[in-house]
Order: sequence, then C-alpha cells, then structure tokens
Amino acid sequence: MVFRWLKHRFLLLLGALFLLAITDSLAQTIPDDNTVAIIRANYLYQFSNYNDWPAENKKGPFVVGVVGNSDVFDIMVSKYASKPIGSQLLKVIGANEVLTAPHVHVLFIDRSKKAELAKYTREFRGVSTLIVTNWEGALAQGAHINFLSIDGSIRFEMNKTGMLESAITPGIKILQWAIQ
Amino acid sequence: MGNTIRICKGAVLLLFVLFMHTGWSQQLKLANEAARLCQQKQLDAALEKSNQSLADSDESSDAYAWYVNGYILKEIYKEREYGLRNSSIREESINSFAICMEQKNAQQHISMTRLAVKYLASTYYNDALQAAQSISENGEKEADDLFESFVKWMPVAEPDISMTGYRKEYTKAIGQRYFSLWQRDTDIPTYREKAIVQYEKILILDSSDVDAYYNLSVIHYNQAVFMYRKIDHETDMFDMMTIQEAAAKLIREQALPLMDKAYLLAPEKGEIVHGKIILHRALDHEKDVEYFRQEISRLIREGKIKAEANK
Repeated sequence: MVFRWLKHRFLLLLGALFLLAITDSLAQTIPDDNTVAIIRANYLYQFSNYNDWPAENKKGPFVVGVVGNSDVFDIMVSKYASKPIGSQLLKVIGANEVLTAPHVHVLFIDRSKKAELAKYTREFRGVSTLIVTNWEGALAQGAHINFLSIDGSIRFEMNKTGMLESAITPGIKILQWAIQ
Repeated sequence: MGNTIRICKGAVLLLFVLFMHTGWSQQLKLANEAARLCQQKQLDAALEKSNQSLADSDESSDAYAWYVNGYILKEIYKEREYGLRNSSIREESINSFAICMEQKNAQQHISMTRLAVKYLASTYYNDALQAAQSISENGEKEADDLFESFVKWMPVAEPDISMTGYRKEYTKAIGQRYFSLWQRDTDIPTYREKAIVQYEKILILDSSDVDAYYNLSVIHYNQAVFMYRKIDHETDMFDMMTIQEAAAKLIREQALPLMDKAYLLAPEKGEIVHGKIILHRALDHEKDVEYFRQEISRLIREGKIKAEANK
C-alpha cells in the first residue's frame, strides 16, 4: 500500500516539478525625454543669446514666454532659467503671464496653440518680441522664426525683414544656420 | 528572479524513500545502510557508508549504489552549499548520477535518476542567471561555465529537450546586465556594445524574438537620448546641431527600424506601441505620434493593455 501511494505521489510530482517561469517583460525601459523639446529649448536660448534687442529692452530680466508646450517650458526652466543673456538674467514665463509681463523678449507659440498666433502678433505689434513657432506657413502668419523638421532634425527658417521691423537684429550665427 | 527554474523541495526526498521501498536494492547492504542514514539526516555517516559501498566490487557495479551516492551528495549540497556557484559537491553528485546511468541495470532506476539530474541541472541554470546579474568587468566566464554545465546535464535528464528557450533567457539576462552597467556610466560605450552583442545573439537563435528587437531599439534610443541630455547653455549652436544630427540619425536609422520589426511581430503589445510613440515624437513625426496614441487608446478600450502602464 505504501509503495502504491508513493508511486502515485511520484507521478503527480513528476508533472509539477521544474517549471520554467518565463517573464513576459521586455526588460528595458524607454526613457521619456522629449528630445525635440530639448532642441527647441536650446534654440530659444541660442536665439536669446545671438540676436540683439534695442537698448531699452536690455534692462531687467530677459523674458522668454512659452505657450502651449509644457515640455519646452519645463526644460527652459530647468536648464536655462537664470542664465545670463548679456547683462540680463533669463526668466521663463508661461502663457498665463505673457500678456501681463512688462516685456517679453522671445515668445514661443507651439502648434497646439496656432490659433492664438494672430492674437499675439496683434498684441506685440511694434514691440521687440521675437515670435517663434513650429508649424508650416507660420512665417506668413506673422512669426519671425519657425522651426522645421528635416529628417528628424529640428532646423529653422526666419523672416529677417519681420525681425528688423520689430527692431531685433539677427545675429550672424542665426543668419548662418537659418534655412534659406 | 522571475526566470529561474523552480525547485520543489522534498520531492526528490520522497522519490528517494520510494526508491528504498521498492526492493530493487535488497542485496546491497552498504548502499541500503547509507540510504537509511541519509533518511535519518546523518549525512556524513551516510556518505561514508556510501563510499564504502562504491569501494565494494559487488555493489559498485549496481546503479542503485551510485544513485544512493549521488542522492546523499545532493542532500549535502542542498544543506551546505546551495547557492554556492562553484560547489564541488554538486558536481560530485551529478557525476555519481551519470555513472549510475551507465550501469547495466540503470534502466531500473532511470526515471528517478533523471529527475535528480534535472534538479541539479536546474540549479546550474539558476546559478548561471544569478551570475549573469553580477557580471562585472571580469567578464562572463563564471556565468558561461554554469550555463554550459546546465547545457551538458539537462539533456541527460530530458534527452529531447530543446535548449533554445533557455539559451535565449540566459543571453537576455547577460544583455540586461550589460545594459544596466552601461546606464551607470553612459560615457563608456563598452557595456552598450556588449549588450547589443547579446541581443544580436538572441536574434541569431530566433529571428522573431520581439524582446530582442525591442531591447536593441531601446539601446540605440538611449544612446541618442544621452547625447541630447548633454545639450545645455554651454553648448555652442554648431555643436548642438551636430549632436542633433547624429542623434536623429541614430533614432531614424537604428532605433526606429528595430522598433518597427518588434511592432510587426507584436502590434498589440503596449510597450512596443508606446515605444513607437516615443521614437516618432523624437523625429517630430506628428501624425505617427497621433496614430499610435489612438492605438494605445484602442488597446486600453479593448482591455488588451492596462491604462496605468501606458499613460
């Protein structure tokens, strides 16, 4: 009897032993960095550094406004806020502060807010605010600089005349790297 | 460690007790005495008796004597050296089982001997995975040696077994280890290159391995991200554009085609669809990002993936 019972247990155990537990995980985690936002933020900093604003705009903070893109805003704040632009310190503001700020030097309007470009161009007409966008046809709608995507790389086109009309002098590096 | 072979403690002891009661071995006094001592947990005395059994010309040609010896050594291994990767007792144990299987009457005991060999082989596999997770600059030799022991012994226990799945899991474990070493210092490309080699090995074993395509894609994407992360206020405009060109090329020509292959093989796997979103976003492919976001929503709606995993 003991032998039969043990044999039965043996057969049951034989089936249950040594299971291979394969994981369903793909293992590596893909980083969530918004790399395009990293590039756009850096461009905004380069535009701030290499263009020239009238003397009356060289006092107080150098203000960069970001509308409609929280990733660009966050990167601007974390990497470029308080960095010197000439004798000024860079300050980043969001959409809710743009219209109430004493002066905005650079204003980035993301394509998610493209409908608001007209409002901002009206608001900043005759003021030295560099308007930067990221959608096709934005220069014709009043933007000064517009980001383009070429094979996954972010480049930019510019409206030099529009910049000069706003009393912003394009820097030589900016002119050099703009898509003609 | 999710991907280890589970070992059912006590099962083999039960088999051993079964073995003692079968009457196959009634003539082998020394081996029987060794088995009895083992059952009483007097392992050193059992081993001494078993060694006497193997020194006896009558008993040493019987499979049972070798089985008892292998079994006692296995119990000693479990009690004293379990988890010790270079355990010599484990090796002695499995060698005794192998000799058991070479004896004329081996067939009488084959199923239980194979089960014992399978147990020990599985400990080599588990140790190989453990060793893979602690690989350092000293290399893969320890892990490889343990895995090769598994490869040697597992087919002894299960002659028809395919080792491909195990080899893939093991190779993946090494790839993961190199990936995590690379993450610690992304300026050193050696570990990244070694991780790539492992995943490419998996694709040689199985060209439809979704995880390998995905992980290779993620490695290339990580490399690009690390380049982007270095861009800051001190980066000259020309340097920024150079970095961007190189990183975008890496994503466009390496990461994305591999993620595409993974997607073709598993279009409803959340991580892969999410990967497609990330890579297309990196290349500013607005329409593709939108398409795959909708795919994620659909998969969540249809209950194929969980919402919280794909926010």
